[in-house]
Amino acid sequence: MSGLFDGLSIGLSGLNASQTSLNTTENNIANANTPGYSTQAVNLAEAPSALDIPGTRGRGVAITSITSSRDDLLEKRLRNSSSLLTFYKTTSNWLSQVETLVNEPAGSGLDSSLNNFFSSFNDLSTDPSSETARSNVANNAKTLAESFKQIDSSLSNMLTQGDSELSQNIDKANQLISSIAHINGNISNAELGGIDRANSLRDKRGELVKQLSNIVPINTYETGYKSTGQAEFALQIGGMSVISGKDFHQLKTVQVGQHNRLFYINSGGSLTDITGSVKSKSTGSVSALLNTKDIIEKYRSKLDEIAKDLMDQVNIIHTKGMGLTGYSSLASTNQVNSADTVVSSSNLPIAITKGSFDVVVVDSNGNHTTTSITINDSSTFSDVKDSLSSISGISAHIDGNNHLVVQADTGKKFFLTNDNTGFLASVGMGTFFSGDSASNMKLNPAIANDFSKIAAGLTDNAGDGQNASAIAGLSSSQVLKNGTTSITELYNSLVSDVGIDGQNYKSLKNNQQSLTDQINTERESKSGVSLNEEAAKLIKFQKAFSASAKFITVIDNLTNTILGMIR
Amino acid sequence: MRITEGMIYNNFLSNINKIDEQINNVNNEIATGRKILSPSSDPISLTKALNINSELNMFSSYTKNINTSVSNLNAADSSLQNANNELMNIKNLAIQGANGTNDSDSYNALADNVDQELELLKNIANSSFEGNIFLAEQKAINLQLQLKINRRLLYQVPVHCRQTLKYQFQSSLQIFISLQTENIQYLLMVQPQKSL
Repeated sequence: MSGLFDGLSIGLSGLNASQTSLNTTENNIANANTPGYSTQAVNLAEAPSALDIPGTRGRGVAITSITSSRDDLLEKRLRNSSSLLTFYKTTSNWLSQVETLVNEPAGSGLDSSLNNFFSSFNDLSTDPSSETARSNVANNAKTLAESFKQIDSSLSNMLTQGDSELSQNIDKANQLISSIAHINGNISNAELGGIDRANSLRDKRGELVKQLSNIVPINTYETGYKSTGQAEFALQIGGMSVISGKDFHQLKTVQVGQHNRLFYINSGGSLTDITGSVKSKSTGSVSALLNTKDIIEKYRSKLDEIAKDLMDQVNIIHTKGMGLTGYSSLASTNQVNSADTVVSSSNLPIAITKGSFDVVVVDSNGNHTTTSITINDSSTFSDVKDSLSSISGISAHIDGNNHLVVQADTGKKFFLTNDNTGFLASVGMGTFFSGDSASNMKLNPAIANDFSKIAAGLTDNAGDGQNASAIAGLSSSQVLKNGTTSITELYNSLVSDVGIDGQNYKSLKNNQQSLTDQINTERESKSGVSLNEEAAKLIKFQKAFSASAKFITVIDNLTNTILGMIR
Repeated sequence: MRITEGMIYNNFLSNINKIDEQINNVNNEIATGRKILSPSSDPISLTKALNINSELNMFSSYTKNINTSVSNLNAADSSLQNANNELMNIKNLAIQGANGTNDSDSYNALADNVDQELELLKNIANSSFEGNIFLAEQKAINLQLQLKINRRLLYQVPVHCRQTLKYQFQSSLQIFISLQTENIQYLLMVQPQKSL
């Protein structure tokens, strides 16, 4: 049989339950916009009833737990999707920077420099004696070299930027790692009894892990039972255990060679290189940075290839022709390995084949003497030097830095021309460009100082523009890669590579964005705070609270009645 | 499905973002007047556009070259036309000289006339286009035709040019214009039709 005061405790339990539910509801509303927050709900159960005659009698309500609607599996899916999205986003952003550099089809890119360069040679071919046409060629060549250099240095700046961004990302990751480990400790303390769940801490950890996964590819699992019987949260990066419970290891970037690499700091302080495994995972911004670096390096080497091919082809044709005035002294721009090296197997940029080139010596009366110098498979540089020296009117030697130097006797000048071996272009004598890559491409100083040295003709006649015409024809003639492609085509293919990569990552990013949005919607649907729902709950619990309060008033009245009876 | 405010907000935001992005794209297209804004907007078309661009460049070079050649030929043509006229004049003078009724003063006057015509012929032979003298092919910036005193026009170029050009006016009423290179000799002979 129940006593009067039993009612008070039932009423109190009802008040408590409603109060707690109201608070939880309010907490949900307050955190409606907190990232990573999952709605919490108060789980109520009937309090253990008392056995009585004539049957069991309810003793009010009990709060069993407050649970979060957090779905770990869904969180993991969201995390994976969002880290992949960060990867595509970062890559796509970097690639669009490259696109701005290439600056096609805005018309101010390398394409227009190339076209200007070739058409200035065409102009020279129609009017070879004009000083203006010559300086125009030289200026366009300078602009072209500058364009190459500028794109190359911007690309290399991007690599440096990528390195510093990598370090910043790793600093952030390290902060997150220590925070997560710290929260792990807190969770393990909070859940010590094995009953309570530290909802807010878990939400917070989930959010931090998500942030970390957006930076580096991670692998998480709960493992290793400690004496408390709790599962322990562990996290791996690049196959190395970074977090295990409240213990953690940090990461570090170290410059190796030209660029930063990613290292894991072992307990003893020694470093383990995890760059490769992080890069191959393709999730998160760090992985994206490492991958983008490779892509940019690919572009750079292609740009170098274009610059080198362009210079080689122009130089080869240029050394077949003659300028207006001969040289009184000429040193090669490239160094030979040593005087005894066989020319056909040298270190020089262009392969030298057997054949011949001509030396034309002009005396003070303008008389021309042409001598042919033959190069065969066994000729060494000193052989060539000796052949040159044996020509009357000029002398040749190889200087201390292994440059080949030819000098004319006083009052005489000489031309080196009609080269079908590649020798002159290779050692850099009478070439148009000097350099072997985009970064060091420049107009040969000999030409920059004296435009009359531009070999516009096959002879030194002022009206001869045949060679300039041949160089102008290079723009579209298929001279590269065994005659399958031209210089402009090669450049166009670089631009299309940049475009295709950019487009690819852009569409991957967009796809991944919708996928992430979808999972996010799913997560919101499951764990998000619905204000309508909370408002309804507010009313529900408010009513319940009022009713419980009313009930206590009733008990109070009853008590008063009883007490009144005594009076 | 349980709908939360967060979902509505996110959906709204991502949709409006998508629309904004499209508007921005279209705006850029209008502002630049180009369909292909960056290599990634359409790499395949861009490659084609670049190829067409370089072809266009080639064609404009062709046009430029053709125009230059045409003006060159026109100038050469009019010079030759002028030279032809002078030669006709000389021929007429020669026919006049063939007339036996002339006295010595008349002959001298004729000779002076011929000298003047030769002077003109020399100027024509030295005419140039963009600094290049036609008759000298690629070389002749500094080579000028000299009028020789014995009524013989000799175009002497430096030895290394291996080319000589001669205008000859001989008393036998034959006018030779010969262009002599190492192996080939071009000879233009003007002769009165009536034998004297």
